Amino acid sequence: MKLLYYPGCTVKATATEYEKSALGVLKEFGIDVIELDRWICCGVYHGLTRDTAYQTVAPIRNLIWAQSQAEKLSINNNYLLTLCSMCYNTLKSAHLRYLKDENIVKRIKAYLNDEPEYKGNINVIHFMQVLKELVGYDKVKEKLVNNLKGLKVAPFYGCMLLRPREIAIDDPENPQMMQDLLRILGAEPITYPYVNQCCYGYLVTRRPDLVWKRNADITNSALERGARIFVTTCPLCAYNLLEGQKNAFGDVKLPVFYESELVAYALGKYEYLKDDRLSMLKNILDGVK
Amino acid sequence: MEIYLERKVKRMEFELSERIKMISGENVFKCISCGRCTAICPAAPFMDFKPHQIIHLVRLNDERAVESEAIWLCTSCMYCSERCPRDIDVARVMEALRAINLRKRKDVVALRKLKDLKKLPPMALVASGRKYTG
Repeated sequence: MKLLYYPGCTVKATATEYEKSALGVLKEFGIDVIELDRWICCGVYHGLTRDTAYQTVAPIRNLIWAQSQAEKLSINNNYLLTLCSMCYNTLKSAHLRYLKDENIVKRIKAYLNDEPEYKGNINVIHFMQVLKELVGYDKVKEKLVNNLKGLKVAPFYGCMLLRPREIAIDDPENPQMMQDLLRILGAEPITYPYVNQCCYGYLVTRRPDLVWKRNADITNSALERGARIFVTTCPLCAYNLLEGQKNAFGDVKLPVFYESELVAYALGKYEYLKDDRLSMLKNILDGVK
Repeated sequence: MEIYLERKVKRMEFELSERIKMISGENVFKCISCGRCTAICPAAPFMDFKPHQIIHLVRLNDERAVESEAIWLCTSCMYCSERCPRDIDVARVMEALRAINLRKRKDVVALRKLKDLKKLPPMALVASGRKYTG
């Protein structure tokens, strides 16, 4: 199965371990991931104001390029894969806004006079959804080599996959998607109040002190319940959780992994993990067995 | 209680609540001040006005909502919008209040002076550019 892929700026810059492991895992399940020939930053937040169109232009332009490439390569499934939670949120929200709001369509067309028209049929899909809906957790289970038995994991969804409700990949109040996958890998997801909460996101540029405090609280809550690692799919959550611990405690008490890294490890495909990440994960697993 | 006693209502062409409605599309008069938004808001402990108070200030056309620190602590996590029993998208009201400031070309963060500029994920920088600079 062929899947068009929109990388976004962060997985190409600071979260390269996420891209490497996620694309590797998908390859193992026979998914042929094709990166878009042309893409630009999604703009992070499609914009919550209803009287402006400019914030929706960048995501729509990406969707148009995806549409053109799908036509060129005759890929009929219309899916557009994203790894970053923020890209998923931005592209999907912009897509829905384009479908719902006629005035915005006119104004966006005015900005994009040299591009073909967006037909509104690109289905933005997140890595977690691909594993659950296109691959299926049963298939994942069949291929497992390593068991993560005894590893207590604190799943951290962040906001962007769950809110607003119309684009949520799972129940915004009680998400279970990540936990289900972790259980299949043999790990033990903990239940704690911060699972679907905010890490303070981009406030890190303005009030890092508050961000460190917030992430220290999240870490303490996870530690109290016996977690050994965090698992997330958002590069900004990963950064804040890690830097928050460094700044609040002086060291990292709970390392942060991407869900795809754990899957790659469980599949026994160590080449998709970075060396330092692999040895860190092995050390932790040796500690719990 | 200060809010109720010393409200300063600025008269202008459009009142604040009308401007907010034009920018965000949200009708703040639906609010019943139940405080659910404040209860779930992760940044509420640090805000000068809590989210339900911001909504109330907008309802009173009180410009202190525009000048508050609270609107810059909101991270658009959208939890308030998810929980509101009256279906007010509180995060959009916050965004509209930020927009009023940003459209006067106000900056609340100096991106070039950030210490961790090279370490920060690009998404944090782009988001800050969008949300904190005019």
